[in-house]
Amino acid sequence: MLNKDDFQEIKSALPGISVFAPKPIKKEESQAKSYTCPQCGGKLAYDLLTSGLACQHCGYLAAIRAKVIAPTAGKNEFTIETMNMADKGWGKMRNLLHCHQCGAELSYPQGTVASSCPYCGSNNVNVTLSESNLFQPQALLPFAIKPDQLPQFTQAWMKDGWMHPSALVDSVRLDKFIPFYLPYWAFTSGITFDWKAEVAHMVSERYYDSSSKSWKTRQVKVWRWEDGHIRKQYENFLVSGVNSKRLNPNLLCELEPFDMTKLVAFDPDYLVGINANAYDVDLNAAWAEAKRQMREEARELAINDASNSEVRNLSIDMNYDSEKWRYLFLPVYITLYNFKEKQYQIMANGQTGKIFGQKPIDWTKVWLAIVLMILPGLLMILIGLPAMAAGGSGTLCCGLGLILLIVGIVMAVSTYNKASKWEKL
Amino acid sequence: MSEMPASAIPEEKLTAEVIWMSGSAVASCPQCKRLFLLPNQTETQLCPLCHRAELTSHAGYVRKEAPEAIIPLRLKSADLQKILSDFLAKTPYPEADLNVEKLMSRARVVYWPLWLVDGDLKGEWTATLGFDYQVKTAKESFGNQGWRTTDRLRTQTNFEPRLGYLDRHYDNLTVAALRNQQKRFEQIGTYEMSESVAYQSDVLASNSLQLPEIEPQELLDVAKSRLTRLAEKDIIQAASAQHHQNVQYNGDYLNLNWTQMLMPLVSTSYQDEKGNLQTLVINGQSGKVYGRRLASMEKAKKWTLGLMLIPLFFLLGMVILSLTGAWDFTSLACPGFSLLILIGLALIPLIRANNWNRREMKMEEFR
Repeated sequence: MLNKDDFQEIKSALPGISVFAPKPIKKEESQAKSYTCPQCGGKLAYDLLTSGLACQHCGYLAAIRAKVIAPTAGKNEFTIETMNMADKGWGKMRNLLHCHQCGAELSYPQGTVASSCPYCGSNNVNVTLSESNLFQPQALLPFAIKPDQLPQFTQAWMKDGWMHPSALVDSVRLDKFIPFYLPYWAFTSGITFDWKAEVAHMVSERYYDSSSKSWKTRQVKVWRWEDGHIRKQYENFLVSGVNSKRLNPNLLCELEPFDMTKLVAFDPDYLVGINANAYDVDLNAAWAEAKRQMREEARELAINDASNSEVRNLSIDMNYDSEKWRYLFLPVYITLYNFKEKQYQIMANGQTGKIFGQKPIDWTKVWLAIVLMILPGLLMILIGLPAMAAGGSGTLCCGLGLILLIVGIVMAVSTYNKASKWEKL
Repeated sequence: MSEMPASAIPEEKLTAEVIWMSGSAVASCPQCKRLFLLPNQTETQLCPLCHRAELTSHAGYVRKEAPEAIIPLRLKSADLQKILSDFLAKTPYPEADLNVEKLMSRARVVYWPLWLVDGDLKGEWTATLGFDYQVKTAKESFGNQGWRTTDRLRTQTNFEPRLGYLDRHYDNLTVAALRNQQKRFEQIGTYEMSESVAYQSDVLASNSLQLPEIEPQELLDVAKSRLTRLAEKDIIQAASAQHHQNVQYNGDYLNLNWTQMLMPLVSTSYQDEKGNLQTLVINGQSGKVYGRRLASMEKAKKWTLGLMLIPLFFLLGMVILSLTGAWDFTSLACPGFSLLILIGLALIPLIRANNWNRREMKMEEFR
């Protein structure tokens, strides 16, 4: 039954008929909310230990009424109006911190005197009140990992791996993790596509060998056309809203997954005393990136759908449906540490505690390991060759050495790639 | 238009005394049971619709208000002649009685009724209405050149609740006055109602009027349902919606006023070979004809016999000649076979007429 109080009269296109539509949901005015302690007048801040607003002077604690939302709630469509707004913005006034070194735009709690940029560690920052053309986040995931749990997670992560400097664990003290809400675009979309390709099939063929004057069988590759139809649904496909120049996208990918069933409706209370990054990858750019990734996955799906993975002349016609988007804040901890005058970044998933970051590489260890991998094979060949030359039984030794050398080279290349990948992070 | 509401329709028995039909009489057909208002009662006349029996005087209920509107008879005598001529042109071996002159001589113009309802709707409505909007999407194609993206717009519908008040007057809603009205429209086609004019009393001076078979009291629910459907359309338009679900009107139907609109048809008949009377009817506005046009099986038989006799004669001659030895019996085979084929082909008129009649007899009789 419809409640008439929830409706308001709108313009009717015909005389004699009045039309009432639901009243628009009133958005709470974004008044400057005072986060002062009702007991002592001190400043309140979001307390990660208690998940509430706490006074750091008298210990007063106020719980935040978390409004858990469905994983699919609050989704927006790519309407023409939205896309135009994504270009032009909404004209909201926000407090922004600008880092002069890396160019980061950070939304800081009002009244905070920011001293350094969490991305690059620079103290060349200033806070300005500027008009921002940004969307408001619709939901966020509250921190579930307490800061005091992080040192033990980080310690274990630092110890992991042999190619890092031995002094790293002892010389680096990671005790200052900055809680941070990172902007993410979450996309929901279905993709439907038809694919067609020539797929390689190995078939037996009988042929007449004129040299041996006999019929023989050989395997030949034939190409046959195949086609298929695939549909895939994406839910909460995450694309970071932070420019890849500031935060390594590979680093962010390693922090996933996030449990989206724990999403709560956005409430500024969660941001009191906690830093949040306004997105600098806008909706259009993020959606373009999401589509790029979906396209590539579609290509892989099409190849996997074929009866053989060797395909040529692949063609795909793909359509999107039910495309929706959401702007989210996801919790991470960020910290920086210095080792041998170089700065490294570590991030932790604020919901699961998963750690990932940059670690220095001890190239002496790496090269030593590479030499040790190649050396056994090389030595065996060197021993076997004179024996072979002397007409002895060096053939076995040489053969074994060759196998060991090949295995060693493969392992060495893999180790080198792994070390390079770590260093590039 | 009369102000008399449907609920107040007088139950008085009126035969021919009310002003608009002064000098007319109600008569019924004992065969088809239809009631007519006739120009005068002086001469007995055949039922103008079924042509099967003479009309008899009848005590019928006739509304005292004159019909509100009439669709004028558009067909002139020449038009009717051409329409019938075209209609009969394709009939093979038409029966003797089935010709334009005879049909024209038996043609009768009959006006048949349709109820027109006026009313006011006042009340509340609720609905779930759909509004179209466009979203940006893309079509991706992968080929030898890599991925190619084409931006597109897709129309989607958003359904939202709406409610409101309705206070509107509806004019001239048509409701069936005959029990088989739908069937009649299917047979002779519909009428262009916008061409209707105000009722002219001289129509009754020379033509018959078929009287309603269903009275307004019986049709109240039908009329309300039709009015509600009209209101629903208006509600959708008023809310500027493109789609709808569950439009519900909850209110009153006030000042319901019933009048008639008359529509012309021309009826004629012919007798088939079996002595049955076949009726042909023509939409007096569009000229669409309905009825069975039967072929004469007698004529078809004569054609068949005539065509058969010639090859039969030659065949017999050839047989006699071969028996007398004047013609070699073995050389008879080829021409004999050809003549037998000709004898078979002579059956075509009979088969054609039979098939034609079978198809025509499948047509339902005019009601």
